[in-house]
Amino acid sequence: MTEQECRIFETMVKLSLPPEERKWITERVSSLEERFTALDDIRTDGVLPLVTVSDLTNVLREDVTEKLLPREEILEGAPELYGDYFQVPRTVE
Amino acid sequence: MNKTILMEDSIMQKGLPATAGSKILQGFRAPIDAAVTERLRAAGYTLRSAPPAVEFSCIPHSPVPSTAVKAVAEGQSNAALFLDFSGMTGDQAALEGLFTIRPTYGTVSRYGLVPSVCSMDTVGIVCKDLKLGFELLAVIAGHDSRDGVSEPEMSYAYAPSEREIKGLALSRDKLPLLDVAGEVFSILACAELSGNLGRYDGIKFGYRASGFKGLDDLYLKTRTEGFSLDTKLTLVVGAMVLSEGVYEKRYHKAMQIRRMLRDQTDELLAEYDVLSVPALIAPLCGLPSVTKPDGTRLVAMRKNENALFAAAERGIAL
Repeated sequence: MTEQECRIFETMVKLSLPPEERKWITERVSSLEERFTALDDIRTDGVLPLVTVSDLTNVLREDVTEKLLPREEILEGAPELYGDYFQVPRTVE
Repeated sequence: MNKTILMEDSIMQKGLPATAGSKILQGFRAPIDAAVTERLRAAGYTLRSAPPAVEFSCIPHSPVPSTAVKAVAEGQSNAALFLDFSGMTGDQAALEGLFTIRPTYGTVSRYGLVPSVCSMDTVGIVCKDLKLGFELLAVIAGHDSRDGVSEPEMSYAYAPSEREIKGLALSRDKLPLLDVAGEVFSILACAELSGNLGRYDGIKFGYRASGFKGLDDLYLKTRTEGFSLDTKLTLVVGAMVLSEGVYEKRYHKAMQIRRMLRDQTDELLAEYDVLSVPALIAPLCGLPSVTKPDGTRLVAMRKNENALFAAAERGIAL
């Protein structure tokens, strides 16, 4: 991975790395990419991907309304509040 | 018997900090009790909490002593519970002369855990005494409708199987895919973690950076300042393996190999009761495992913890 490519993936995961961290990460990802090539020689024709090791399918619950947490408790951990709302930076000019 | 148990704070206890060892959850207090917490309290246990030493229980680039292992090794607690997705805490525990137990995926509810890798997350137990460890597991295991992968059995009772236990020390010639288990694990774990950690944005809870200019800058600064270097590496790798052009040859392929690994391990477990394996086989295949103080890691078929109990207790030679 190049540092330019690392910047692209940083954007995807909402990070803005300082140069020394980007360099460290780029080196390690490059090393991992080398290791990942070991998968290339393994034949997987017709093999379904395994998304979960659970054998359960279509686990449903009753379609009833549940009251989970009081509003005050949800708001308790907020970094910044405006009345009963989460305060965020302006999103519309 | 002392019924005080330490739990790493990735397992929520209502009102207490639930940081998962991360600055990004600074100030966050658990709004609920985890299912595990509910069950332990109902059984009369007193619970203590401490943050895990490694953020989101990831595998650090240089070793860090596990909070759970340290607590039991130093005699603060007879046993400790932690969020386990990699199975690798067992190695540290073994160095301290302790056991770790990792239950079958889906037998212990994940409700109230701070999620790391959903397809591998479970609650691990570190203990000095194996019998105590399985007693604890019997308390915390059982169906929970709040966890979508929770197995239907309402309760479990564990006792060492009395019949002869047949074991095998697994090697590459019996399971060639062992060669790539590490790579498959890394791809899947990084992909799932990068998805799960997307929720940490400084908006509704946890750490929020200061000095930002606009919403996007809030996200960037909060996440860059809030996550450790190891977590940032995980995020970048996760983004990479899920990206267009890479997804098929890495993430999709890793999921295919995971199925092959699981199926081939299951075939061996149809013939043997327990296998001695590297750490990552249990989480990749959803198998229960016990790591012994001598460093041997055993797995058994799903829901066959009793074979593990017997093998570990009797010191079955493999």
